[in-house]
Amino acid sequence: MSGAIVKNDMKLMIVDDSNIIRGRIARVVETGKIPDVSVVGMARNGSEALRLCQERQPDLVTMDLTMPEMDGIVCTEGLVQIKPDVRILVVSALRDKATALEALQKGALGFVCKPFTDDQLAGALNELMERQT
Amino acid sequence: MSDISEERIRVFTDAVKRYFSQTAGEAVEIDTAFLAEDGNPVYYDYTGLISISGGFRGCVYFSAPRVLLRHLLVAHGEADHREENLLDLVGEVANNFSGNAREHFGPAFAISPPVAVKGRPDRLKSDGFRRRPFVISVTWKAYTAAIAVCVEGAAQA
Amino acid sequence: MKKEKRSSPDAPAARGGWSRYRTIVISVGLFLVFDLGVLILNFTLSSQIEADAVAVNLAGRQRMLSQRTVKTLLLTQDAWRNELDTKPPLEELKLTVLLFDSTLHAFDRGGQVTGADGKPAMLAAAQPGSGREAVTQGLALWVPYKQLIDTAILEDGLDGVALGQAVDYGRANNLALLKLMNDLTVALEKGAAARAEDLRLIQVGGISLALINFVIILFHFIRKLGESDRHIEAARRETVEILDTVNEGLFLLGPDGRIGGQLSASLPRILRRAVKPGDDFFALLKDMVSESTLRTARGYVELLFAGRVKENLVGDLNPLNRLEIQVESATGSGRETRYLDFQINRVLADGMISHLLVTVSDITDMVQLQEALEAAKHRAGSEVGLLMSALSVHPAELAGFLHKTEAELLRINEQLKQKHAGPVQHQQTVQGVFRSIHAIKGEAAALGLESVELLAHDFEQTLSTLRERNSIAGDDMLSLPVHLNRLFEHLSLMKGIVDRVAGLQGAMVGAGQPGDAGESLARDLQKLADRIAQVQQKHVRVEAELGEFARLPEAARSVLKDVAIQLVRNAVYHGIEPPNDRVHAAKPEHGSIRVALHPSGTGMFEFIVRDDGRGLQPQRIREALIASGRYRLEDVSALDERTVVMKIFEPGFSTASGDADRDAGRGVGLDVVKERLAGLRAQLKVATQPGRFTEFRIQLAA
Repeated sequence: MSGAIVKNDMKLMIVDDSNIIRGRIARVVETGKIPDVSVVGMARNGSEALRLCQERQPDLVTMDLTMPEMDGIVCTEGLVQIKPDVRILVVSALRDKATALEALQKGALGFVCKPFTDDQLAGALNELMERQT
Repeated sequence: MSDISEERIRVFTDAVKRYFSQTAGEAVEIDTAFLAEDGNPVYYDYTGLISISGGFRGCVYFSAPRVLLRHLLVAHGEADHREENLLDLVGEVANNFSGNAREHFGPAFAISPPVAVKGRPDRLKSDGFRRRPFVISVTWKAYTAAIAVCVEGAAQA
Repeated sequence: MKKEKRSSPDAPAARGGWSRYRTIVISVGLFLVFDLGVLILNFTLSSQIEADAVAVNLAGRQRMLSQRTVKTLLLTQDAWRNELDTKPPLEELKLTVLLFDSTLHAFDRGGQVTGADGKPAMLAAAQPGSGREAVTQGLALWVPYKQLIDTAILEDGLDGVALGQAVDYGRANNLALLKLMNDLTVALEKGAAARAEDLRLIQVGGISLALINFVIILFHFIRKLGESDRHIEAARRETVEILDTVNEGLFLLGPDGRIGGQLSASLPRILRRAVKPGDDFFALLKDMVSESTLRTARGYVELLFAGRVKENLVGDLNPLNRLEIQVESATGSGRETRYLDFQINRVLADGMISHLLVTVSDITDMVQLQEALEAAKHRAGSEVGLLMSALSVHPAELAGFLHKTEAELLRINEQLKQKHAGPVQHQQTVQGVFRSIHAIKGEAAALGLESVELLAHDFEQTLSTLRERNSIAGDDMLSLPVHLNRLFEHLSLMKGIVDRVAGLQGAMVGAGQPGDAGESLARDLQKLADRIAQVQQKHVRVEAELGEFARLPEAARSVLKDVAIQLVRNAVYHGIEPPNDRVHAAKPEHGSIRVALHPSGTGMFEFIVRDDGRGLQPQRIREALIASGRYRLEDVSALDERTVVMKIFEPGFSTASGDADRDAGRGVGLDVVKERLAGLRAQLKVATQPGRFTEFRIQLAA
C-alpha cells in the first residue's frame, strides 16, 4: 500500500481461542487481500474481547463461538452494547445452526464456516464492509 | 449390528481433506484404510479427538506426528512452534470433525468438544471401543498421519 | 439462487419519470395557459365593459342635462320677469350646467366626474368613431352657451339682458345639442356591444380550447391506462404461467409471516397439504418440523427481514434445507417420509426488503437414493436369519472354516495396511484382496453359508468395480475396511453360535458321527454342484473317489478343497451342457464330474477333476480375451491353441457372458487355483477334447 494514500483503515479485532486461527485471520488481512483493514487486537475469549473493544474501538470483529470463559454469543451481545455500529462476523465450525443464529440475533452480521480458505474469509470480510469483491 | 458405513467414515476423511486443502493449499492423500489391531490403536505424537454418542457411540480422532504439524504450522504462516500451538492445531482438525459430524448425523447425535492430547490418548485405553477401529492412513507432504473411527461395543441382541 | 432479487412490476417506470409524465405535464400546462389567458382577457374586457356602461349611462345623462339646462334657464327667466323668487331655478341651473360641463369635458379629455349615484366615476376620453366627433361638436355648441349663462348669473342677482341672450342661444341650439349627446350615447352603446361580443367570442374560444385540451388529455390517459393495464395483464399472465409450470414450490413470504397472493401450482403438491394465499407459514411448518427447528426457522426469517445481516453470509444457517417431514402417502396408505429443501432469498423493492422469496423443492428422491445405497450395504450384513444356515453345517467344519477365514481376513487387513506408493500398488492390493475374498466366497458357498457368501459377494462387487478402473486412488480404498469389518463381525457372530451349538451337541450323546474329511468334501461338492446346476437348469452328478483325502496333511487338504470347489464350480457352469444339448450330442442327460484322489508313486498323490462336458473351446477363449480389452485381435490370432487354453489361468479371465453372478463370470477362479497350487509346489495339467471332456490333473507330494 502506498504511503501517499491517506489511510482510512477499518479496525479489525480477532476473537478466537485458537492461536492458529487468530494468526491465520491476521495474515489474510495483512497480506492485502482485504485492503484498508488493520488488525488492532486479538482476544482469546469473550471477556478479553470486551476489554479490548473498549480500548481499541474496532469497526470489525471476527468471532469464534466456542471459547473458554465467555462464549461468542455473550461476547457478541456485549460488544454490540459497547459499540453499536460494530460489524461482527461469526467464524466457527458449523456445530449447531441454532447457536450461530443466536449470535446473529444478538447482532452479528454474517457467518463463515470453519475451515475456510483465505479467499472465503477475505470475501466475507469484504462483504461485511459492503465492498465489491 | 454396530456397523459404520463408508459414507460415515467419509464424513471424517472429508473433514480432514477439506481442512488441509483449505488451510494448507495441499490436499492429504488417503494412503491406506484398514482395521486396527485389537487394543492396539494407531496414534502419533499429537491427537485431536471427539466423542460421539447417539445413533452410535464412539470416538473419532486425528493423530499426527510432530513434524507434520510443524510443517502445517509453516503452511499456516505460523512461526511459533510451541507445544501449545501443535496441540491447538490437532484440536482444530478435530473441531472440524465435530462440525461436519453435527451437520451429517443430525441432532440425534451428541458430539463432544474436541480434546487435544500429546502421546497416547487416555480415551483409547478404554476397552469399550469396538475391537478393530477403522484406521485411515493419510499422507501429506511425505508425512503420515491417521484418522481413526472407533465405534463402541457391539450393539446386537 | 444466491443473489437478492429485485422486483420490477412495470418495466417502463424504470426508464425514467419524465418521458412517462411529459404528456400530462404539457397538457396541464396548456390548460392553465388557456384558462389564464381567458381569465385575463375576460377581466380586461369586463372592466372595459363596465367602463363602457358608465360612459353610456353618463352620455344618457348628458341628453337629459341638456334639456334640463334649457328648462331651468326658462324657469329662471320666467321667475326673474315676474319678480318671483329666482333662487330655486337658479340653483338647479347652476348644478345642471356644472354637471353637464364637467361630464362633457371628461368625455373630451378623460377625467373624473360625479356619477349617477353621486359618487365619483372615471371616464375615458371618447375615441374617434366612438363618439369623439359628437363630443367635439358638442363642445363647440356648449362653450358659447355656457359663457352666456355664466355672464347672466351675477354675484347677487341676474343680468336680464344676458339671461335673454342665453335663453335665445339655448332655444336655438338645444335640439342640436340633444342630438349630439344622443349620438354620443348611441356611439358608446355600439362600442360596448362590440366589446361584449368580443368577450363572448373570447370566452367561447378559450373554453373550446380548454375543452379540446381536456379531451386530448382524457384520450391520452385512457390510452395510457389501457396500455398499462395490458402490460400488467401480460406480466400477470406470465407470472401465472411461471407459477403454474415450475416444479419448485414458489411463494413470497411477507413480514407478517404470511404467504403472499401468488404461489406456484406445485407448492401444495410438494408440501402435501393445502396452501392458500394468506396462510401463516409458520403454522404450516409447525406440523412438519420439530419445535426447535421451527424456532430456528422463525429466527432465520426474522433475521433476513431485519435486513441487518448479510444474506450472502448466513445461507449456511438456514435450518430448512434438507428437511425431513412425515406426510400422508400419496396412495393414502399410511405415512411416509419426504425430504424438502427450502431456499429463502430476500426480495427488494425500492431498496427495502419487501418479501422473502421461498423456493421449496422435494429432494426425497435424491435423499432416498443415498439412503437406499446405504441400506443395501447394510442389509447384506445384517440379516440374522442367514445365520441359521450356519446350523446346517457340521460344527467342526464350520469352526475350521471360521478359523481359516478369520486368518485370511487378517491377512487381507495386513495387505490393506501396507503403505502404498500409488495406483499401481493399490491395483495389486485390490487384485490380491479380490482373490482372497473370492476364495472365501467359494468356500462359504460350498458349505452353504449363504450369509457369508452374500457378504463376500458384496465385497467382491466393490472390488470388481475398483478393478475395472484405470487408476485407483487411496480414496477408493476407503470402502475396503468397511466390508472387511462386516465380515469380521459376521464371523464373530457365527463363532458365538458355533460355541453354543457345540455345547448343545456335546450334551447329546451319539448324535451324528462326524464324517471323515473325504466324505465331507464329497458332500460339500455335491451340494455346491446341485445348487449351481439348479440355477443353471442343468443335471449334474459328482462322483467322488476321496477315500485317501484324510491321509493328506492339513495344508494340502485345505488347498485341494479350495481347488476342488473352484474346479467343480467351473465344471458345472462352463463345462456341463444343458440337458437338451447333451441329448443332441448323444450324451446322458446328467453330466458327471469326477473328483478323485489317488496315490501315484512314492509319497505322491494325483488329484483329478474331470467333467464330461463340452471341453475347453479355444475360439470362445479367444473371443473372451479380445472382449476383455486386454488383447488385440491380431495378438490373439497369433497364439496357438495350447497357449490360448493356458490363458484361462490369467487373472481376470472369464468366458461367462452377461452380469456376473456369484458362481462364475468374475474372471477369478483358475488364477486362484494356480496360485494356491503353486504354494503347495503342486503341478497342474489340463487335458481337454471339445465336446467330450475337460480334465485337470494335479500332482502333489503328500
